Amino acid sequence: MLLASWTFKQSAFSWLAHRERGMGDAMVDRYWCHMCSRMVTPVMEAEIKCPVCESGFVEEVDSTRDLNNDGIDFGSERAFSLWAPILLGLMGGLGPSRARAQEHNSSNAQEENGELESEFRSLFRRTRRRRSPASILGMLQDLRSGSENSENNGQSNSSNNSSNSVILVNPFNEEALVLQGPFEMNQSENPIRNMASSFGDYLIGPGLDLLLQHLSENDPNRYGTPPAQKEAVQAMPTVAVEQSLQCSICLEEFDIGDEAKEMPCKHKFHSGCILPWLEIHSSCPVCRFQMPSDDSKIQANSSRSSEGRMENNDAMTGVGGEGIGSGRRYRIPVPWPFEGLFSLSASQSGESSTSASSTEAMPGNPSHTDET
Amino acid sequence: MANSNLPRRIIKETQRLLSEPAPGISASPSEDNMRYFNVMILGPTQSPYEGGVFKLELFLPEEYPMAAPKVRFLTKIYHPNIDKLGRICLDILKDKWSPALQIRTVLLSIQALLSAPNPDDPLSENIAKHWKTNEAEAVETAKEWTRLYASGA
Repeated sequence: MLLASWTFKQSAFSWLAHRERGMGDAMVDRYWCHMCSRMVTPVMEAEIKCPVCESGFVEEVDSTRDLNNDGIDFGSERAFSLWAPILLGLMGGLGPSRARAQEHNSSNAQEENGELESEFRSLFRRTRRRRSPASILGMLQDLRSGSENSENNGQSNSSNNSSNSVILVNPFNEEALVLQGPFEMNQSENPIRNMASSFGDYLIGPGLDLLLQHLSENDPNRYGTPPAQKEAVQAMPTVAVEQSLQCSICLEEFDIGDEAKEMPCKHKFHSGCILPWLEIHSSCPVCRFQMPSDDSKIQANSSRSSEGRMENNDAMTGVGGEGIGSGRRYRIPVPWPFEGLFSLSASQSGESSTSASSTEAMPGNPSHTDET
Repeated sequence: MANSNLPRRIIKETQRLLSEPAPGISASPSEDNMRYFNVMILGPTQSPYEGGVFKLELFLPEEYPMAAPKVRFLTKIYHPNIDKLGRICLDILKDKWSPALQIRTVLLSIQALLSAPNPDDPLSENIAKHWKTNEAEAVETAKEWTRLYASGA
């Protein structure tokens, strides 16, 4: 399994064409069968025919530039509807990997495939684009368990190599797709392939496990009150400590005259102790006094970022049962390829950052089963 | 190694846990990971767990004290708020966590939970149901489990 950020507007199409048929000659990559609505390797006989439907209604496509001249804009929503049948064709039934899977895999694995496929069919059907991170997390988990299953099924190496799934994430419309097919991951002549395999290094195995674990367990923002409002935090006075006092966060004693941040409830802490807490929660650590919280702000951000789109029902009714309204935020340091996947609103509300170690806020609630 | 960067607060808490242990509670850090504690809690008197010695594990995540410790019973226990994996349904370990709480206060709260099972906020549905429909019988089962699994150790 492999995730690639679908930012390569120009080359995505030819890449898919390469992917579909693996080692194909570059010359014959460029035919589009209008009957099958897919790129094909034509049968070069007296006349050029599509190998699938055997019609002659194939068109040589010199480069992706031509496709774009035809008006396909990869960033638009319309482009997506054009792409959907092609991509679905790739993942469902047409590819040789599909046939192989049905020959070799247990019924269990077939079920997995079916679930995957229906998951993505429903994904395509949705006109409301933005998926809650929880559902993407669930999807990743499904995929991972799926790929583990197929490994455990004792497939030969060659079969495993050639039946990888590729997830494409398009950061422009925040949509994700899965392709299954005979993808060769170790080819080196195509730079995008190289990039793809390094994404794989990021995202297969321990890295992904770690991320999933992080999402599901270790997030201090997962429970409790929403972050405190920045203005309210900035408004907290700095005072001099006048009597012996312990900071109940670091457990160190203040010296008389030391500076402390005073909350509206008059409890005092080192600024370096209380500020990190108020970034993730809004209650006083000692008395649970409730500071103004960031709820309203999150709402505002989310509605601003959906400019002109339909309101996003997915996120509001998210898988975890809690939507944006809960005000919970998740900041997880993730390797770069995940940014497009998890920084759903950040990228549009101007908060996004491009550094590899950046943290991102995202609304929604990763599925949690053990919370009571 | 995690130990080299141990925050002062964790060192302070550990020292105090060792020098002034809370009654009926012992917690000592593992030698190879100072964030992992082996915990023993004595079953409170006048509870079905009286006479039992309950082992728990406690782990301080990297974010501690901004995030709650992770605590789990290792000894099998029949309690409506503790599931068969030993996970504990306790608000201060979840949404009511505060960085002003400590290992000590967490363990005292767990000890108190043994004295006051709360079947209205269950983690184990079956045990909670048992508790609500026939408390006397449930208490007997808890006592029996205490004898079976928490004696000696």
